[in-house]
Amino acid sequence: MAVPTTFDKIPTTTPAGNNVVNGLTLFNTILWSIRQALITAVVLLIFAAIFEYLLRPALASVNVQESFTATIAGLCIGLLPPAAYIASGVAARRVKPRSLLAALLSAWIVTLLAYGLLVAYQASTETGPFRQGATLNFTVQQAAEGVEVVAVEPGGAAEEAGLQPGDIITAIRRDEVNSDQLLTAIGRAEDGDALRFRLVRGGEEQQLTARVRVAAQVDTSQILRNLLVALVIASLAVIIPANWTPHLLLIGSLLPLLAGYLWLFIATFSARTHGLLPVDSSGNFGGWTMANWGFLAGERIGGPSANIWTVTLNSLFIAVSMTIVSLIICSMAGYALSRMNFPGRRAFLSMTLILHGFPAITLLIPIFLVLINVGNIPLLGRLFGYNTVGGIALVMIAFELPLGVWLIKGFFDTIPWDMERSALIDGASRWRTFWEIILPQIRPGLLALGIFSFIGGWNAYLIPATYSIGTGLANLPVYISQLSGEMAPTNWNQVAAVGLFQLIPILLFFIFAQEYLLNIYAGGSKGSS
Amino acid sequence: MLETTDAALPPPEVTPAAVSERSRSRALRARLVAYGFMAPAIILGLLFFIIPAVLVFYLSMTDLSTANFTPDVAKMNFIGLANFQTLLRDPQVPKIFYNTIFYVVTTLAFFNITAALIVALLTAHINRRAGFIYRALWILPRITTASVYVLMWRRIIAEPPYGILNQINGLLGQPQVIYSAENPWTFVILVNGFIGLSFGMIIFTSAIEAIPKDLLNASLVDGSTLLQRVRYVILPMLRWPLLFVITYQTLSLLTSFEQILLLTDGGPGLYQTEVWALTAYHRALSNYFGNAQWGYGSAFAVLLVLIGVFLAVIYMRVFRFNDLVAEPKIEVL
Repeated sequence: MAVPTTFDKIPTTTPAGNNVVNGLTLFNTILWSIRQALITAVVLLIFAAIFEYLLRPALASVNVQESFTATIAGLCIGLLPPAAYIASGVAARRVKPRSLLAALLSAWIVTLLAYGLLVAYQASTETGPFRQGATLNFTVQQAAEGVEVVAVEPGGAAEEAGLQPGDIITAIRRDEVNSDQLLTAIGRAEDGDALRFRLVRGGEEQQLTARVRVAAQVDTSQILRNLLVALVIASLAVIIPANWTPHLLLIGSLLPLLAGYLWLFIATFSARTHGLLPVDSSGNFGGWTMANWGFLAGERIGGPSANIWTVTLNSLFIAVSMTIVSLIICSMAGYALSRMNFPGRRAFLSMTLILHGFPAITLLIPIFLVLINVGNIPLLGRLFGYNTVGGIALVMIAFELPLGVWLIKGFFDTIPWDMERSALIDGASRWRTFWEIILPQIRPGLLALGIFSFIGGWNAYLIPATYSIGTGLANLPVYISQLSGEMAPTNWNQVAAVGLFQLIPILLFFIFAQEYLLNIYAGGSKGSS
Repeated sequence: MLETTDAALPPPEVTPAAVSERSRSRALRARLVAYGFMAPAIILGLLFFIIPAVLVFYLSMTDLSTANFTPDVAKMNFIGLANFQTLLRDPQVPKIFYNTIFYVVTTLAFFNITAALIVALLTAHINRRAGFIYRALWILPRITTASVYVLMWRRIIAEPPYGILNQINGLLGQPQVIYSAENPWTFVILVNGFIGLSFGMIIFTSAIEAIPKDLLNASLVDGSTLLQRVRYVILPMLRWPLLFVITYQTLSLLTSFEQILLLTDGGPGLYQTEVWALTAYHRALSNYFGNAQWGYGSAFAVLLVLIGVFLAVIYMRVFRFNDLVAEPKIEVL
């Protein structure tokens, strides 16, 4: 394999006594930084253009109502300046082993240039700090009763209109507002427009008209703040050790997930949440409570009338029966396919493989009819028909068969057959050999399939939701989705508590059986994306 | 009992006729035992794979709905290809079709392939233990039940003051956004992408770890940069895993709709985030319109079943069939 040699190679170890950076090296580094920043910017621009001018019109022309392409294009443009700063900083790292100062200097110079371009662009298009927005020259904050005026600028529009700190604005004309809506309304106004506020001052309701002004001057403090941010970004790109980069990227990409799980924990123990902050009923920080866990003591919550313990037992029954039955069935079939020769073996094997790739979820509709017909069989129908926990478990066991048989067959294939052969020669039956000699040897395989089955059964949503509509047979995932859908208004924190309750066994598996999980989920991600 | 003893072997038979007679009955018994071991799996496979796969084609040619429901296959009204004609005339079907393609391609391109590859590369190039922890964290969405997982995402994108994203927007001085109304597709893709990523990640990681260290060391000695190593050493070795993940995940994305059902249920606009598999489900199994049309829904499902069978046969041929040609270890006894 030909690996092209690099023509821009810079030795990372310097010859002894030559750790002085001369002007030429610095100049070269700056040029290199400019080149890298430019390439980054151009790549991002091309991406943005592809999404904005190629994909977006194409998708709109086939009537797909999406803003995804616009979001991506916006992200590319929004991330362009910081990406250029980072690129210049990373490029400057090549002189870092010789002189940190030279690296920083070069990164700063290039970042300054890039920032200069950005400011020039913003000035010419009147965006960012140059935006000529309407203002009332006051600052507000959201309070429980309305929008509280915190401060008014001397000589500003608000003071002219007679607004005072401590006033609480409740509405513009008759439309009640919160602080965001208020600021949006002001931002939309033209120069000199009048806004009539309804406000509370000292407990009395008043009305007041204010004329907005369009700020004539440029927001220089914002320009300086952005410059500072740009320099900090570039410096960090120079300073941060190279082996931190993967960690930063990985943690950054995991943030949405971590935030989601963090919210679940916080919400469970608090009355309400604003974002990730636990708050009490009036919106102040705090509000820690255990009340959300009242359902454990049998307290009925929300719409679904099922008792939490019935629901939990259903979940547990589905998961446990699924684990046991699929272990037995899969190891029996896996043993036969691995050890015995019988007509049709090849056909069974290729069928197993085809079904392993086949998305069973597409068969939901005909299986509905199969279950109803199974339900008509006397005796068995009571246990495994439509609207029974047994029927749900059976469908899920069947969906898991191809993976399970294939997995277990693979484990049987790897163990030597000397012991088994001797046992058979000694006259032990096939069943006894299988049960007493072979099965104990594939314990890791059984454990893997068992964990997979249990998690699959415990988490099952779609099949229980589909085949037990309108009955008390819901399991925990179905119950949770009913809670978050039907309760109006939804008590999210209580739903979170039930969700965390459902998540406990999963988290235990996650903590104690990660190796198994990572190994199984490459082979068995059926029915899920 | 379990020790091997040569003495236990039966004495040799004399006449050839008796030998063949005995071995025949033995072979018959061995077959019966084998089928006995296979029986439960065969019954379940017939009941929930083979029969439904045939039934879905038949159902798609009947007008079975709530109005004339019967579980008896013989009593259903056979209407030929009328359902498919209705389907082709349905003004919403082209939109659902393109929605599906958009959803599958973007999720695959951004998350299941690209992001998965990046995460695999990053975790393979750091401390083993740390890489393992990151990969384990990426497994979490897959083992969290869909309703709880979607619950978290709904709170992440919720309206102010409840949403986490809007809280961050507020801290950064950005305008507040009602994401569920303005960007439904973005979040459908994110929610599914965060689950789908781990599949490719695991496959790619094991493929990267299987690359001979000599190859990487040789390129290191030649002075290659990290990007060059990825481009010229690692990616060529990942050709098969890439192909496998692309085909497998295409099928998964085409047919899975659980998260979309829970997150947007095809909304918020008319069929805005509706995909093909979800339409089949809506028509046949969710009573949203008050009238479940099993026949018409099956017509939608048939297309997915056909694609599923086609791709599944391809996988078997391309990826794994050689593994299973191996003959069983104990043929005679």
